[in-house]
Amino acid sequence: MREKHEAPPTPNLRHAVVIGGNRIPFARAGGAYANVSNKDMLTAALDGLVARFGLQGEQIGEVAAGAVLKHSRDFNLTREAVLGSALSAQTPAYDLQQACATGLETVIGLANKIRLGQIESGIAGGVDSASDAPIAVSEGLRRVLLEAARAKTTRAKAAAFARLRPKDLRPSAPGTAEARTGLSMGEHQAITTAEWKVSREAQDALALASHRNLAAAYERGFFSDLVTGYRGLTRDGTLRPETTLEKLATLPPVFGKNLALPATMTAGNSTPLTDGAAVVLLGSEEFARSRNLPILATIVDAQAAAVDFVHGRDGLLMAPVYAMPQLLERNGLTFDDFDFFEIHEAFAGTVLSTLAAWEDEDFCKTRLGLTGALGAIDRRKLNVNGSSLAAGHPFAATGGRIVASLAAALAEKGSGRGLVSVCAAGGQGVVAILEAR
Amino acid sequence: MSADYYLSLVNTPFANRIAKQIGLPRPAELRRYQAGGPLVPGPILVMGEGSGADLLAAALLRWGQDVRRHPATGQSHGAVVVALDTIETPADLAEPLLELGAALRGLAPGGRVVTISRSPAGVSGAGVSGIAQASARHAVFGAVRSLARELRGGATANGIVLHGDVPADAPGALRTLEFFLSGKSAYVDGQFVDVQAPGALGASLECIWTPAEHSLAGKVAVVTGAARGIGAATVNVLRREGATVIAVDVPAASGLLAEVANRKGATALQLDITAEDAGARITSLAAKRFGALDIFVHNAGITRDKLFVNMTADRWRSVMAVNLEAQLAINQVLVESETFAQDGRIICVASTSGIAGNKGQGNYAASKAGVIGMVESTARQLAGSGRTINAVAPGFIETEMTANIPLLTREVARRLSSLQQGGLPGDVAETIGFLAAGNDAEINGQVVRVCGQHLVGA
Amino acid sequence: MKRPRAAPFDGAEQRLAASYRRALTQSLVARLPGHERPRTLPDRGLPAEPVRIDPRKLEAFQRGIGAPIRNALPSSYLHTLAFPQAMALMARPDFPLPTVGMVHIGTVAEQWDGVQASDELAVESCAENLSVRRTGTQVDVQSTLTRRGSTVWAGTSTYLAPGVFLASPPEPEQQRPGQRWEAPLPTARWHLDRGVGRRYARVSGDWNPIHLGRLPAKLLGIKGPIAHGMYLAGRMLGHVGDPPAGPLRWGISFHTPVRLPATLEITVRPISPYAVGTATTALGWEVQGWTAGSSRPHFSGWIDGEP
Repeated sequence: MREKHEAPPTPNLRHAVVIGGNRIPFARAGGAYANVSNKDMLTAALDGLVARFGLQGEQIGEVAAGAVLKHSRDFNLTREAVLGSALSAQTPAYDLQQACATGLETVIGLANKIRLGQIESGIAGGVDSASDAPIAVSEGLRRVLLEAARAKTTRAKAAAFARLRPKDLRPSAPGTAEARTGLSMGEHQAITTAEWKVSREAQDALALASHRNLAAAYERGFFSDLVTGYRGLTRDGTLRPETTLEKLATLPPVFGKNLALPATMTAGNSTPLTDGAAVVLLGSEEFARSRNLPILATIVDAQAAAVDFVHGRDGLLMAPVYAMPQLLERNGLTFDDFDFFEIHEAFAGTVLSTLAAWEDEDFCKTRLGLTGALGAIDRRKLNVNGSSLAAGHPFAATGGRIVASLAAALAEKGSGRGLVSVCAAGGQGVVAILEAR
Repeated sequence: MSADYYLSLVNTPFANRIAKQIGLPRPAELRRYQAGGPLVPGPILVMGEGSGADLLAAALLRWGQDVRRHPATGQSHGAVVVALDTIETPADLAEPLLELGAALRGLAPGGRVVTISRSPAGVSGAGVSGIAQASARHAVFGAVRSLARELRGGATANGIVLHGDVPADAPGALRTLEFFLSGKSAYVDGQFVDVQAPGALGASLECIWTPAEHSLAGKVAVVTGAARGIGAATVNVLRREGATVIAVDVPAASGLLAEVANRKGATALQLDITAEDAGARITSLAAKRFGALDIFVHNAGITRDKLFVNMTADRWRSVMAVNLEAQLAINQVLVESETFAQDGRIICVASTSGIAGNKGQGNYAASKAGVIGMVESTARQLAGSGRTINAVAPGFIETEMTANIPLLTREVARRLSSLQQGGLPGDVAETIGFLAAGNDAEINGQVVRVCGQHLVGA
Repeated sequence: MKRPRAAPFDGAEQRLAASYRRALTQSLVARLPGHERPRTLPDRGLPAEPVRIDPRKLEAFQRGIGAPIRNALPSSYLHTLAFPQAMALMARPDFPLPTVGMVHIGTVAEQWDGVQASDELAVESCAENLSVRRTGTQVDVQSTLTRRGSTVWAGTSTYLAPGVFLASPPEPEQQRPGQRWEAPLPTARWHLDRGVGRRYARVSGDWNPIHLGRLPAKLLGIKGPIAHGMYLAGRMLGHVGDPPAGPLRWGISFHTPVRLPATLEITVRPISPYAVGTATTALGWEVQGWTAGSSRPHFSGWIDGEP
């Protein structure tokens, strides 16, 4: 049974607004940030935000952030980053993890606290390093070590170690494979892409648009108020402004090669593994006004959903398809009411499959329970300042990147609404509405 | 920043003795400003007979300084202030300057000589007596500059030049005196600062100006090129003096900029000052965030060195665009802006290259000379408005820019100044801080060299 | 309560080992001149006997097939509990087919209720449906688990003795055209390393040499170790949602052996359509596993119930 969300529009809550954002340029894994930790990057992103808004020594209501690939020693990652930053050491912080939706979920969580009056200001964000990924000991070694630690006598310890096998000494690195299916995210998307019959050409065209839009946004200085250089990078390391459809067409497929259908997903129309961090400064209107800080946009509402990809029912990354109609219905809006669409480009195929599902009358009727197709999105409003295909996708950092960029775009336009859609591992998805001030 | 290893080495006792014996330069550790420290390293000897000497002595006493009016044998002085404001003829110079010469033996290391004289441009009446007066006043410049070259031990000599009938204890004069006496002027040597009659909007002269910490409290300042070198040092000085600072630099320097801003509590703004809307964006941010803009430091600058025969259009144009045209455009915005305070201060960073020229720096020197022209011309436009514009002209400053100079050239360039060493970014920043302060508008259109009295452009 | 001590070999395993030994002896005896196997199934099966569940071994099994450690036992583990007796039945001298070389070609099981480790279970087994096929003779071995008299689980496994004909084989069926199998879109991928057989033997007690390694497999005339059919069944059930807290029916057919190591493409598809919404409302799934690029699946299975 689908959960109904028919709570009345929240009358007594105040607004939570986006004041600004900051991220470090995203770097290709093994590139500029190869030897930099999640804590370093998150601290740098926080420091850039502090510098932009003159928040040195300020006590922020709460900082929430997270990382998808996290060392166990970083259990208090966000608080540690706050302590290393220029913020007041009296700023509390917590970690959150919702795979690639981590960043967006921190924004929603803190925005809700602001709306409830629990905090006046908050910094939401995320960080991820594919370069400095945690390496764990093998399951065998781990069990031996745990047993040896529990053992009370030397003999018992020796017995525990005697069970160690050479193969147990091989470390295990985290992969992007889903725990329950053993398929990587790319392989999952390749299946969905095939199911929705998304062409190679359409995927390459979307990738090209992402690079062009991101490059143009950098050129016109759009990111001057959103990005702070780090470790020699001032623009995203994966941005290829000079790429062309012809170049993209030459790339060999990397996912879906085991399928009976032709493989269409390449390194060009899939996001590369990336390192980076992004944060967003949120506050109540009073907080922003009392400090003469800008108000870029309001966080209006958000919705999470998840799909059953384990039983082959839906594609791994298709949860936003389900979240969107619930969010639109609750707010009495349609796609026509929006000026910007920020659909996270995990893969070009993800965006195109999502759009195809919303345009498919049969799917919307039978699966989403709608009376017809949810509708088509004006492609001219889609990811107008580039998205993950060009900027890269350090998993937990993407939400912060998108929210800050969308808020800035809304402020630049001076009116209108923006829609965010982020898919996440584990068959999850989060969508959100922002509104210009 | 490249470290001056020679300076460190020569200040060890052994090396110093060797250097003295074989005649190598023996640069001294300069006496630099420390908050809470004494103004000068000893009593101040005020020399001269006229009203100027009395006014200055009175002011210094009010500041709590140990003031002496006559040299005593064996007495060491932290500074010697010589009032020459009553000089009428060249002959009048002999007595005070010879007395000064005798007093120099007692000048402490890091000591100061400051003269106060009247401007030759403002001689009273034409004719033979006027010309003689102008000659005498001009002669002061030669005397002070030579004196500066002779002083050792990090001591400097500078002069205050009063225009018209500005009294010797006018706020502008006293501020300048404090600057020259203090460690803030450590690398300013052989220089003169003109003090003009304030315009109608100038501050009232009811009370004597007194130095205070946080001279810029409540002010909102913008520093361009703030991520490193002189810009970063300027952020430090302005913050120390209590100003709210917007630190501006290009996105390419944004990482460093953020760290500079966070270290001293400034607000970082990424901006290319050559962008068409740069002035508008800066004033808009200042207005929205802080409700005012009081101080604008044009520090951002680039070098694209080439000999004229090899100069490319791109190198020429980019240097002119950043170093001169951007400042012109932003100043236009400031002058017309209501956000820019009625006692607003514009400080431009010129260069001694812009005064004397420099081989391989045709574009840079042209842009910096242009800045000097802009400052002088804009100063005339601002005169009487309460706003001022001034410039600093750094000489050899130990920055990333000079670190790229070939080793030998760099070593020679360092020793070619009276202080026999390069200056630090902070030395330029202190001078900028001096020009940014004060609610009098008496210092306007000045180009203060911060060069340790370098041979180039002196 | 005192926990039962975990022994490296418990009774069931010793019994299985004995069964394999007996099977091996019989396969040698069968080659002796004048030896004749019975041509019919024994009249009676094996009577009910108690089954003991070792929690440590259960945990190892659950981890081994990637099933969550819950209170309810995986349905495939119930098969494991019943297997030693089934094996004993097949190793008896009055069993008509040789156990060595016999191939597991499928299992169908039904479970009526959730079972937990502390339950007192009993198992009984019998053999039926001896039938001659084109490639040999096959037999169904049925095992039933009861709890205080009521049946909680029953499974029927079909085994084929290749090349053994107790009667003349039927006429080969005509190949129907257009029946070529086409690989569906996968929904998961399993990586089976070389040691899967040995590890599953350790947790299930099924030490059939063809699963253990190259050398033991070669001794029995096959090129390399192959995966246990019941391992694949366990993974299939675990993937879809074993263990069951309630009624469940499932079946699996093995078409071609999975030679280790292997990477299997897996597809899980609902049999019944889903209702609107995000909840999992399907009551049945089809599962197939194959090697990418091959023309036949290794196995196909189905699960019906409330996983």
